[in-house]
Amino acid sequence: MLALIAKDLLLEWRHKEQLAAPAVFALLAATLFVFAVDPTPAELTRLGPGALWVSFLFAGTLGLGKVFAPEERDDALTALLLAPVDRTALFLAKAASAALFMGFMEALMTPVFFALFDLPLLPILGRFVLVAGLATAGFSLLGTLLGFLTSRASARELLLPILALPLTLPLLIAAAKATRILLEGPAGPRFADLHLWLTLMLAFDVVFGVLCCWGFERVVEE
Amino acid sequence: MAHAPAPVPPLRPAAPAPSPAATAHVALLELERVGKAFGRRVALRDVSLVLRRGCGIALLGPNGAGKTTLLRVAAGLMAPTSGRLVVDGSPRAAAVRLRRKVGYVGHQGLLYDTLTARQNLAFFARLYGAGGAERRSREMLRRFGLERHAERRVASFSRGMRQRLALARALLHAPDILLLDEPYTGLDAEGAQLLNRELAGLLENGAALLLATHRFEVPLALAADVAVLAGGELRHAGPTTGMGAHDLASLYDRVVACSR
Repeated sequence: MLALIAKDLLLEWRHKEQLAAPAVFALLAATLFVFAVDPTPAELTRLGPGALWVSFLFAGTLGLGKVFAPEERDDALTALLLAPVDRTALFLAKAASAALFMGFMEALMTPVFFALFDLPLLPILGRFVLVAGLATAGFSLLGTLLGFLTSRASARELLLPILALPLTLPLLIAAAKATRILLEGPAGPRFADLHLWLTLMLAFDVVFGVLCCWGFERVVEE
Repeated sequence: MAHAPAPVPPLRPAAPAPSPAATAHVALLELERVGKAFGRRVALRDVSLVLRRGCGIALLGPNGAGKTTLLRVAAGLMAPTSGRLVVDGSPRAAAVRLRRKVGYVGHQGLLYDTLTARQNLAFFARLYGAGGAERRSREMLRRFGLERHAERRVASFSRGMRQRLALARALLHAPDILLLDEPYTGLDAEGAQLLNRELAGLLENGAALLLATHRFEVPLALAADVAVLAGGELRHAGPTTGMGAHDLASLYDRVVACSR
């Protein structure tokens, strides 16, 4: 599993320009939001988290479309599937690689977003990392399976977001709500709800993690 | 079936002759009435084959006969729709165990073209849990005459070099069962000779070989048995003993003509 993740990181490093595209996309989306809505500070706390996570998910979808790209050329996927590695481990390794790329993009873009929206990041950093981790894990698990399913489709760039975005809607809502609660602070009216949204994200990750591992194992043998 | 333009170079040393002892060799992989359908299209129907230690089977058949599907099912890449695979006498419950034993060469190289030759082999050696992945990858590069190109990315390789590397990848973990789909494609005479030498050595060491080919010389050189597949069905299976390339070609033409 570690060998597979290390190989994916090496390949991604060789195509680092591809990493820039989702990050630039996320930045543009946030910038457009600020200029289009021209929000007040109160509106930023209310609307900013939604804009942040929509941008991240759209940008993440761009990256997920390429999760299996190295395996498509020269049918390297067959060589991977031939290896005496459990299919679940294979799937989790690819999902972990996808999560690392998305996490890297988020780590780069989050400070920029918060600066652009004039929102305080440092006071909520620890809990925000937890929210981002749960959201990224769920999106990567689901996106990796969908990326695999659509990898050989002719219109995969279109198919992947159409399939991924509705399915990740609960995750998007929970991440945006949790982020907003964090921004409102412990004195905010909904702070007690934070653990509910975190639990929802955790449940999403577990349920889709199990379903995706099971689905991947069946799909690759057909 | 089109006859191959270039002859396969002779084996050196000579191929192991099929012997009664060889046919009694232990079964490594058994395909029992294996069928495979993709939706309503049936690609394989009730195919039974036994791959025995130290024995080679040449798989002949026209394009679309189901040779590649059969090899992929035998490799554990596809689940059969019907029938079963038996590995070392036990049913195919442990797919990971089967994959550990199998070396597979497909139509494509099954390589990462943005990694170097050495990185490719080292990566797959790690996946197979081979100790000393770097040392093993360098050894295989040397065996297949690619040591000078170890640090070149596969994307810059010629078709023949890519095929050599594909063979090196397939043999990296010293598999017991070799499943080869047109392995001579793209190889020059030297490369084909090298492949023959490797395959003969593996057979002598007790590996089993299932080799899909369009070349009639290959079965006579490497395989004690020949199987002819047409329309997804096994139309003929028997020894190649005493046959010349011409006899085999006649047999093939008769079998394929009968299946139409």
